[in-house]
Amino acid sequence: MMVKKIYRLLLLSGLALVCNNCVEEFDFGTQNFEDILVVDARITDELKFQKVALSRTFRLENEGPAPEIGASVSVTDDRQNVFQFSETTEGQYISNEAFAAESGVNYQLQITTLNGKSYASRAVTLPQPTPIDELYVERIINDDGEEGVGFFVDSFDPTGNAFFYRYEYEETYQIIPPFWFDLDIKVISRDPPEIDVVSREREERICYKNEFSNRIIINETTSLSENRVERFMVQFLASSDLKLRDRYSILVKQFVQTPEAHEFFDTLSNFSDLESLFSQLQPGFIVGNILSVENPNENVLGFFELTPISEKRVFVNRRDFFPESTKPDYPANCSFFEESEDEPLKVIDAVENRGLKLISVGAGFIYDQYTFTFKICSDCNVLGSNVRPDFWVD
Amino acid sequence: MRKLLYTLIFLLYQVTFSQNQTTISVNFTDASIGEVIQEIEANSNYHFYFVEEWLGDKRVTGNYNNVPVQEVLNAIFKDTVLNYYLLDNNEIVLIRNNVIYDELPENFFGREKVVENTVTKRKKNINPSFYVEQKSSTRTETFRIGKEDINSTRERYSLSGYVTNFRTGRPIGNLAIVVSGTSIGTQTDKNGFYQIDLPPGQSILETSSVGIQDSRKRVIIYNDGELDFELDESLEQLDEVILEGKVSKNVTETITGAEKIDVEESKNIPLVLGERDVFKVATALPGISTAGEGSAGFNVRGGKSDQNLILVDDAVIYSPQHFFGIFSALNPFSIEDVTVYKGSIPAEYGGRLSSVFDIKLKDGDTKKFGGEASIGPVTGNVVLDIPVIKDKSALQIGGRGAYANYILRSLDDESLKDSEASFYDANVKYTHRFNDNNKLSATGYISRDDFSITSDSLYIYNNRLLSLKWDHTFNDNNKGSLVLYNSEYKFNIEFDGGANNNFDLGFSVQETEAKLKMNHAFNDKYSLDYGVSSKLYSIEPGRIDPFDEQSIVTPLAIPEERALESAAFISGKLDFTEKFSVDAGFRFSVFNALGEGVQRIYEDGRPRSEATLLETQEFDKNEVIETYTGPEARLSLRYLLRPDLSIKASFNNTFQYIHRLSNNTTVSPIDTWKLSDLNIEPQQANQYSLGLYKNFEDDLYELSIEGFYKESENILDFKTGAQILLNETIEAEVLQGEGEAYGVEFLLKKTKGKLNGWLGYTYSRSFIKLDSPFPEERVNNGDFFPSNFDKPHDFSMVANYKFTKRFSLSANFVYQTGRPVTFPVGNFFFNGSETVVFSDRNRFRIPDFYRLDLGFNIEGNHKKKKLAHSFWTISIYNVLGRNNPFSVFFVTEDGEVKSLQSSIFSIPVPSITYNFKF
Repeated sequence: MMVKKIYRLLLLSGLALVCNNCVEEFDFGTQNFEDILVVDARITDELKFQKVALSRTFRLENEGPAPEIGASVSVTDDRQNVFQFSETTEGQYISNEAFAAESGVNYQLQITTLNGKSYASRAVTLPQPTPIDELYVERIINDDGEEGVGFFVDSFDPTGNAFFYRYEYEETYQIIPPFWFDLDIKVISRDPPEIDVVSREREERICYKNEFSNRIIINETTSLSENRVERFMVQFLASSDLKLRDRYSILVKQFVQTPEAHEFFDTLSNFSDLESLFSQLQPGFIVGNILSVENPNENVLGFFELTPISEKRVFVNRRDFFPESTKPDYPANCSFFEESEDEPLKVIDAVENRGLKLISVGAGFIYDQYTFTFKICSDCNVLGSNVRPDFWVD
Repeated sequence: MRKLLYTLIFLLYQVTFSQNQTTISVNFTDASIGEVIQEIEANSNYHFYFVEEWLGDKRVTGNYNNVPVQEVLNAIFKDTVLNYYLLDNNEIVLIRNNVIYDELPENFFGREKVVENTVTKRKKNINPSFYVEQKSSTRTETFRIGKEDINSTRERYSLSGYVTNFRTGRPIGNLAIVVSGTSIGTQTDKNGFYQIDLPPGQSILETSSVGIQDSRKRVIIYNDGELDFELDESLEQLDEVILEGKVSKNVTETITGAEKIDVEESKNIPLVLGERDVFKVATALPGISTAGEGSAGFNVRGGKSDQNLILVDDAVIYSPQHFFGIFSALNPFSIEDVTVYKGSIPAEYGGRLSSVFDIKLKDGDTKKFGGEASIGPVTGNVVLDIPVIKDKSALQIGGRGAYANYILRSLDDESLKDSEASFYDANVKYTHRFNDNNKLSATGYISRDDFSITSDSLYIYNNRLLSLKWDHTFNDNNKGSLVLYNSEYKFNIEFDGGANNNFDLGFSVQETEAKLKMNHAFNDKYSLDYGVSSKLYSIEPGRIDPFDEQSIVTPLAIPEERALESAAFISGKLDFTEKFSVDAGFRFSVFNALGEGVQRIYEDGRPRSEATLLETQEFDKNEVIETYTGPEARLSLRYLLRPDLSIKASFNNTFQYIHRLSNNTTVSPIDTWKLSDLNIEPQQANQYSLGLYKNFEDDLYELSIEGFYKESENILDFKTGAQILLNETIEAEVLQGEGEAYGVEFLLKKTKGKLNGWLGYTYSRSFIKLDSPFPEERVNNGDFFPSNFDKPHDFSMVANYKFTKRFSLSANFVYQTGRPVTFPVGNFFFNGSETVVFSDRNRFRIPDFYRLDLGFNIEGNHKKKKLAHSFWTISIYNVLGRNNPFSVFFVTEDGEVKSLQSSIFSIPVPSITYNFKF
């Protein structure tokens, strides 16, 4: 990372030196676009409905990928089993039956697109399954000098066959708005204006938010004397991270990879965590293991991978690690607004048009005074979901 | 006066000679010829016509009584160049050199007429020296030699003399003297003495020699005579000598693809920011190009930019350019000459595949103190000649510094206002001539570039070299030289952002070489060069250290690499016949990668990666890790079809054991070098070339057409996605593939005249193939694809027009096909994240490049006694304001990919430089 920074700094600066306005943006996206099939296929050793995602590359200026629809997808093994896949949502193909990848068997992915082109993967096998031995959390200062918590993995393959590991994680954390109140304004009638103060109908105090890892996390043990993953940090959260405001949970998935898959992901990661492509990185087309059957020169992106999976979950409370520090600020500026019970029109306007939430009812002389704040500051559903996940443990 | 005389002479042929019987009596003692003539005029009715200056200061004594005037005149004009002619009416015309013929030579008016007009027959063979002044476009000094003897029938007169260095007074040996348009030629011996037989009348003598500026002299010879001349090695020449490219060397030289860059030429090429640059001249020649402006390094005949051996006084210089290649890192005033070998490389050079740039610095003046200086918008430059012991030893010191900081300050961009950029270089050369047989030279050179763009980073790179050379002449047939040098290149990045991640990152490469070269001359036609050399490399491939105590950067140092590269070479040139000449050489190089070090051993037949790593082997200090050997043949043939037309062919093979790790097209100052080892094999190339060379109109025009085909092996490239800097297992990122390049180069030069310059055009292609049984090691499906510097069309024009002695205009135009690039062709979503997808390697090209520069030179006046000679150069770079993309790149900003193109000088850049010499 640091090295990349240097490059960018140097090269940009070198140019900037000799000419002021010499770097300019140019419109380039449309002319050189190549429409390429992208195959994201990962069959694990869990017995489940396996998934294959097909999409197309998209133009630099476009929002997102176009799904590859209507393709016929199947996985065959060298024991003459054929697992057919069906498209459930656009570009997402789910196996018709649940199956698990097995050791010592060759698998191949076959795709025929709607326009009749056929693609096949190279034959792949399942690497040595290796479980996560331990997932643990420690308070650390990371390489950038930030204080926070690191999530570490230990794993050991006694057979000595698993060298390459890839990790994904799924984070779940609580959203607890600072100004939750158990009452709400209920609009009974707008004309004539009539309101009532009622209990809140749904859970709005504690919500949960899910996030998935979006970077490639890989690790290898080839340079070590043993195939032992030790203290490999999968995720780091700074103490100021909002995810750590309240209770946080992470589910870490460990995938064992073949050398080819590792190489592919490694290359891919070099490209995707680029801050700038103006660097000493060798650009070029990333070759995977999917080939066109008819035209060997056609570029196909992606990889068909068989991978053992192992996962572990851990929960963290902020106060367990940072009892002394104050919570990070809630991600909103919470201003207060007051309305009086005797002006129900204004109250209706506040909750219906301005989207405000009641956070206190103060007894006045004759009329009650209502205090409002923004919805985000009082209702956790703005940022998360009030459905408590099954795995959640308080 | 002279004109009048000629008119007279031409009228004379109608007058028939009649012997005048009048006698005279005169007495004179130690008188000048003028006084004698006055005396004769006073004592007779003879009347003389002459030019006062011709008479000279000869003193004569004589006593004559009643003798014919001829007797007196014969006596007093003896041992002078004067002749006389008696007219009928007692008038005597004095003539310098010439005899006035009272009859015309045979066939003067064509055959018939002459036969009729022949009145008297004297001798059968009259070889009169007629000289009609020509309106010559070049200013060539004219010398009249000897006194014409009317009775001479000789077809050749002998001219001899000494040639000395105008500045140092030392004799100039080995100076080639040829008569333009003929096959007459000779060479000076070590005392500077020459002897040449010339046909009567006018001859144009042309001289050329290494280190001495080419000269041209018009000699009108009437009889045997002597002519000593002084030649200069200086930058600025006054009228006497017109500079000129190697005369007919184009045609007669045996080797192909050698270009000598006249340092003087660089003066006439428009400048960027007022800086003269011999490398800019080089890139205007066919077959040599750069990746674009603002990119350091050269691509010679489809070769990578690390394949050029750049020598400064025999020492390798790793980074000969400042400031991203915009300025040459060598002081233009200190350079004596530059020879570029792009076709046949002499066997004494090796270690790089594509070319040799042999740069020689000037020796100091042993006679008098002098110097040159220039002041330009970006740099100031001064060179001083300091005699140490008169006629024996001298020092030349050169220094140059940039004051670019003010440019940065003046920029509007806030972020750049605090930036700094500066560079300097300094060179010193000491020469000591112990005697005629021993000469010692020592050259020292340093250069440094500093950039600080943001306040938190400082980036520095340095060159440093020191070379010692001892030239020794054993006897007339044997001489030798011993060279010892050390050269270092390093860069450093200091990052001081104030936080705790400050670091200091560094790289360095160092080499020390000893080279012994001997020359044995069997005879004039055959001589042999032979020798041995050995160099020790030591590379610090990269280290990163915390910059201060607070820094938490983890120190990392990639272990040092060492190696020994040794070679023995022999080469000779043999002229089988006048027409057929062979230059053959053989070089045998041995490369030993040395410990201490760690080498990773990978499984055979599998792609190198962490997965196939078998073991790491440790080597002790000086233990040989791996040995490579390279037999290298260098062969050139030349056949003269006609004196001004030749055909040449050559074969050249080369090995290279050190590789620059760069996936950028251009040389970036942070590129590191890597030695061959167990995993990285040496690069190798074979080049075949064939060319036709023709000179027209007395060498006024030189035309050459040269074709080449080059195949290479183990060319370094990188896997897609490779990271290079601070990579401990670089061999797992490297791919070695085949290269192929071919092309045709046309060059038309006009070497002299008011308008001179050249047109060059090259059509060439350069490809590379990276194939492997394993998909991750295959690029573009394992097919040949255009290399980073494949630019099929390359046209360049350099033209100078001299209005007067003092004003000249120069222009420089370049057109090149845009170079190949790998573009992003879209985005894709994979495993939850968005990534840019790139095209196949080098599938696209950046737009074509073209640029026109203009320069105007104003020379100061040419009074000889002036304290300093000066000239002004005004130039405009990129007159057309063409926004030539230098590179195209992509930045991910807020999750969006932006495509940007950068150019260095998108607007016309004017500059003015003042140069003076004292």
